[in-house]
Amino acid sequence: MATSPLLQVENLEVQFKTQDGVVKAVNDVSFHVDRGETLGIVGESGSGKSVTAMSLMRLIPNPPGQITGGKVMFDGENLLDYSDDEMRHVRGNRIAMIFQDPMTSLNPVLTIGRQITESLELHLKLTQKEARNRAVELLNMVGIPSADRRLDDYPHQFSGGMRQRVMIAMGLSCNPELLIADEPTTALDVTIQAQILELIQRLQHELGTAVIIITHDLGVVAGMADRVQVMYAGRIVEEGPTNEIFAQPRMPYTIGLLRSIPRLDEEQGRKLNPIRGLPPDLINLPQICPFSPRCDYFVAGKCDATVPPLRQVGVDHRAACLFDISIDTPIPGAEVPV
Amino acid sequence: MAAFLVRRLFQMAVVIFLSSIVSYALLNAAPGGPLTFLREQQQGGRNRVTQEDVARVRARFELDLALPVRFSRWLVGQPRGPIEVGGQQYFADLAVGCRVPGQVRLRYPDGSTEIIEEGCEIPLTLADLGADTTRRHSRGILFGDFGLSQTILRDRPVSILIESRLPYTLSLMGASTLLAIVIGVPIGIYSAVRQYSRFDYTMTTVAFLGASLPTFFIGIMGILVFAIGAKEIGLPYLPPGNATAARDYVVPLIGTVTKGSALDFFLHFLMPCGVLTFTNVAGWSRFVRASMLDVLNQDYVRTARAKGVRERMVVLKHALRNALIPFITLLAGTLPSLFAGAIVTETVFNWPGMGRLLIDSLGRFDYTVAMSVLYITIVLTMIGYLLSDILYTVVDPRIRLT
Repeated sequence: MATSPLLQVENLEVQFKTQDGVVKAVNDVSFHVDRGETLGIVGESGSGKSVTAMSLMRLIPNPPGQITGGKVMFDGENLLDYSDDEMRHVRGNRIAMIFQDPMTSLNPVLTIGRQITESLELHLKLTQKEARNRAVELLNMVGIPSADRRLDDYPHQFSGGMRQRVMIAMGLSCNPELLIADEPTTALDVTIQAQILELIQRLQHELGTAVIIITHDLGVVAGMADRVQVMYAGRIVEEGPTNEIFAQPRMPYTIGLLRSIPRLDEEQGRKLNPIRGLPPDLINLPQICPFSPRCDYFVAGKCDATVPPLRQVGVDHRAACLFDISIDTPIPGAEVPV
Repeated sequence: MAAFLVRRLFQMAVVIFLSSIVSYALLNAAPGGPLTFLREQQQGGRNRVTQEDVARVRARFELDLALPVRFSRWLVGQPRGPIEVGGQQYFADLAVGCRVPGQVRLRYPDGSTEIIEEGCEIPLTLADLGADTTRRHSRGILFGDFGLSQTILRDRPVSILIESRLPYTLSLMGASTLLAIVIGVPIGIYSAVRQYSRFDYTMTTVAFLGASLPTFFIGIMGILVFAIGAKEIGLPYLPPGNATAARDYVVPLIGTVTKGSALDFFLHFLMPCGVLTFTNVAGWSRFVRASMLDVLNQDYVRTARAKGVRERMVVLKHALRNALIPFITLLAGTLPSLFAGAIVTETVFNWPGMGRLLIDSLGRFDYTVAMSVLYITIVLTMIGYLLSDILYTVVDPRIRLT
């Protein structure tokens, strides 16, 4: 008996009305997250990964943003049909979110304790005393020393890494089924990054929470995610198991991303291969492959004729490219390396 | 905190001293003065104004003393005469002013003459100052003696004048400030939460009018409409001018209003209070709106929403407290105006408060009264900013006073 996935997003579309026109931030995005698994969403700035995450929580500021189509099925129910009040009971309770910048994501005038206990009192209907005890537990769990004392401290009395721990404690306070981590390590320095990722992983195993980790750091995804999906210009352009994606990328964009990463085991003096050009303007997207203007394997008459759909290229592996291109396919017109 | 307070109080003392000097010097540098009239009389030659008359007036206004000496006598009540140490008098012959200035009569080719002052004929020494029994000595404003009024309440203490005017100003400014907070802050919050809504646009327009129309214009329009206009077409009207009427009067639908009754005061009170409230609401609602908009876009507000906090609580608990931090400085600035009043509005409505007292004292060269009002304003401004600094630490845990 196949159990339905925890989260099933179907044909999600999000648009922002701006003075210059309608920005189609997310186009026809579908994916699912199973219970307890980790999904990585990778993409460059403006590719729509954060907007996707925010729309799962229905936190897109409206105006100017609006979810214009699709379904967000969470545990069998469409979140987009929920009333604001019903949605509130999902937020922080069943789906929690950790944000990018722990420096600004905590309210500077409220104590850490107050900010953690808030959702406990709200969703679990704990009394103040119970909530406080639970908050101490949570802070211990995320590895903040002398938690009992630190509960009455304000955010500015914590370091960046510690604040992100507090954010994680806050996110996990109500035992959510899904945790969305939106670039949780971007604002932290590298040693702290590793600690935070380890912490998220450990807690995920302990609590059985499903995690969506959003990042532009391929290293983070490689270490954390079971499955990866790559976003470009508001679309998913490749998805599959993490190993598969890293070993056998099938979409030129993913290939380009992997080629542009320096490696420890490569020959000395090799130049990095950046992806040329800039991501497209999301206001007037023509009905062509969005990556085609930057693609090394561009085929005139094909790539600029339709938007390539995601197609099966392996077991659980789908890519949005018309051609069977792999990382070993030589770049047309480029010198063949000797 | 203690170190901060000590340092801050010292700074306050310095600032108060310096601004006292500046305002005293500016006030005395202003053209005109009690002698102008006498001079004109002298020039015209119609009345016999002798040099003794001038000297008497000069002595009354202490204009025969050098400015620094005058300032020192106003501030700390010294010098009153020769300095006495152990029965010995020192500096008795030190000239501290000029009893009778030298006069030069200029004759112009067209036959007109002009008398100008030059040099000093009879200097005033410390000994003269001590021997002059008609001269009143103040203990100095630093020691709480505001001195004697020079023209408005001739030779009676300024404190009496202030005591009689202060209740009017306190009630007017207190009520309008409180009303402006109670009305302006919610308007600002709502405008920010519903940015670009019809409500926001309406309030923006109203605030724009309130902030750009000067109070004297709003005041005069108010008098035209609510006092004169309403009275002419037989509607209940608001009596303009002063705080109470001189005699009983009849207001349609309300009946006879006894002079000096609470109702009489209230009717007079409404219009100036309304004008001040309107102006303040206009400014403050915009301030709160801007500050609130800034905060609503902060990451921690998004965090609160992501926690599933009720939108109402997001605004009132998470955003408002942060948004009101800068508003506190603004409020601290109103502390001196609670005392000093609204000069223009009080003048338009002839409200017998401190603002009008300042205007009157300037117009009638009552230096002691004007300086008393200015001095108290300076001190209250300092206290206001000290209070706002201390309040900052209460509302914003990131700020520590060291």
